[in-house]
Amino acid sequence: MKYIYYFIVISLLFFQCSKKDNSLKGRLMEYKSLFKIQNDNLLIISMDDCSSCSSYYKEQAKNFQESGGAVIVVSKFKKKANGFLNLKTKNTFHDSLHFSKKLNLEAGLPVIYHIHKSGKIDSLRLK
Amino acid sequence: MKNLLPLLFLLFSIISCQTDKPNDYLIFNDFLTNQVSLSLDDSTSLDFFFIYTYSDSSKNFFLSLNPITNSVDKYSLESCELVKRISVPIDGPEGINGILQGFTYHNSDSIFLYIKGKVNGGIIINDEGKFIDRLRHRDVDSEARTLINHTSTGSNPTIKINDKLYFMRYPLFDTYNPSNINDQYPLSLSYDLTKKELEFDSLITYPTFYQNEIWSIFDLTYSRTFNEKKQTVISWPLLDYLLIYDLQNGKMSKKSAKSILDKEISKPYPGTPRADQPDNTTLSGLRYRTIIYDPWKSLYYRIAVLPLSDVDGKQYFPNSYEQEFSILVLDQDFNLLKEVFFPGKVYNHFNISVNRKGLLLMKNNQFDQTLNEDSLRIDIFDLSL
Repeated sequence: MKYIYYFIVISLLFFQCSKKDNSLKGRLMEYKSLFKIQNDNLLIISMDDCSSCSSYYKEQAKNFQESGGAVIVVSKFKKKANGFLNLKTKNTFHDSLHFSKKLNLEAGLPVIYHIHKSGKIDSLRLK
Repeated sequence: MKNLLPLLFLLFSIISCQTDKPNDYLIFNDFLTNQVSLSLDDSTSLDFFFIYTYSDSSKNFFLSLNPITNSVDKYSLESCELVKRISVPIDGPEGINGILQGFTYHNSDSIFLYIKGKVNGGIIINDEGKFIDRLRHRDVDSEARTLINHTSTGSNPTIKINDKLYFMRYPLFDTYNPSNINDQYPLSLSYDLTKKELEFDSLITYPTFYQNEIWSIFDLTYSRTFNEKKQTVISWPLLDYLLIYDLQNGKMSKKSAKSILDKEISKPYPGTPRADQPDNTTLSGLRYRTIIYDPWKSLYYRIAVLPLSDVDGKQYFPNSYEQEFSILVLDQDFNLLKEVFFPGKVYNHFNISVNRKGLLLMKNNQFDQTLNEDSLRIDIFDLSL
């Protein structure tokens, strides 16, 4: 019983001490790995925050994809995401669990991230 | 004694997690009278943001603006089927020519479709999708009179009464500049369909409690409803009373409509809040939202959204869908009859509507793990019971 107690305490300490990379780069890398995205140009569009923005967002998304970037459509609803941008299209990803918000990568407005080879990150919020 | 400690800790944790509801509080299930499930095709998303309910002499309909198909979808609440998909003209001289934001289904001859940020340019079609007319007011050159952040959502619809469309509008200015929160900015306007004129309602502005202070942006939007006495009734998130404006004589009165759990008076920010502060403030406090008048039962329903206990890192959208809420039921003289409590993560408290069948609550809450995107479930409640 005593050993189990020590094991739990040490496990808890271990989990608390294992640090996550909470930098913007770390969060972006985590986000990319969740969806197995290779691209370093990302446009994250949250569809559930603005109900009347879809046609504007659609235009932005298509332009971005044509320039070679990857688009991540954030929406709980698959039909909505697919109706907005065919999810089978190359470089299109669906974040149905709002990981973008959990990782603090967007807060409603669409945002573009460009990760340079040097590791520097440019970001631009679309209005 | 040592063995009792974990038990005491557990008990304390359970007690501290509970909201402070009275022991005999009323629960939603006791008022549930009907459930419908609308079948959704592959081109219909479950989120149903712009909705409208309509009843004719014998049938009840649930309508929604479908942004995927650019149509007004009309569902029968009796057969639960999509009975009509009314195409919205998008381009050309009869097209909406802008971003669709909201609609009013007045009847089968008059469906008003609105453009985002404007009244001018909206169109009127009929049930067959035929263009009838365009909303076009005279002073279109004045930006102050054309750039209008109207709402036109399900809970805050634009309403047609006689020859006028009554719009609500939300601010388009810096809301963290306290001098903008004043009694000079009209929050309501009407469009006269005969005269083709806009009229701003100077009576409906920020209430005194709000004026010259800084508040969370999510607490600056109001809800309103109309009754048969030519009165408009307004619910503000931070006010434990309703404001009643008489459209005939311009007089305003207040009526208490307070939740039993409302125990805290909100305080303004001393300065511009940090980026995450408004989300935390609004999610962690009780806020009054939609007010609905039920003309079939002569009752008012006021939604009180209850505080969320853990708000760290959460955003108002989407985390408000996690919040529990209550519905205050008031009679036609604004006497509080009851308060009924609803769970979080089940219903969509942003979009509640009423028709002859009762109060319609959509079960499309995005935190509900059992959601099925092929159907929209609607629970219908009779809160007069």
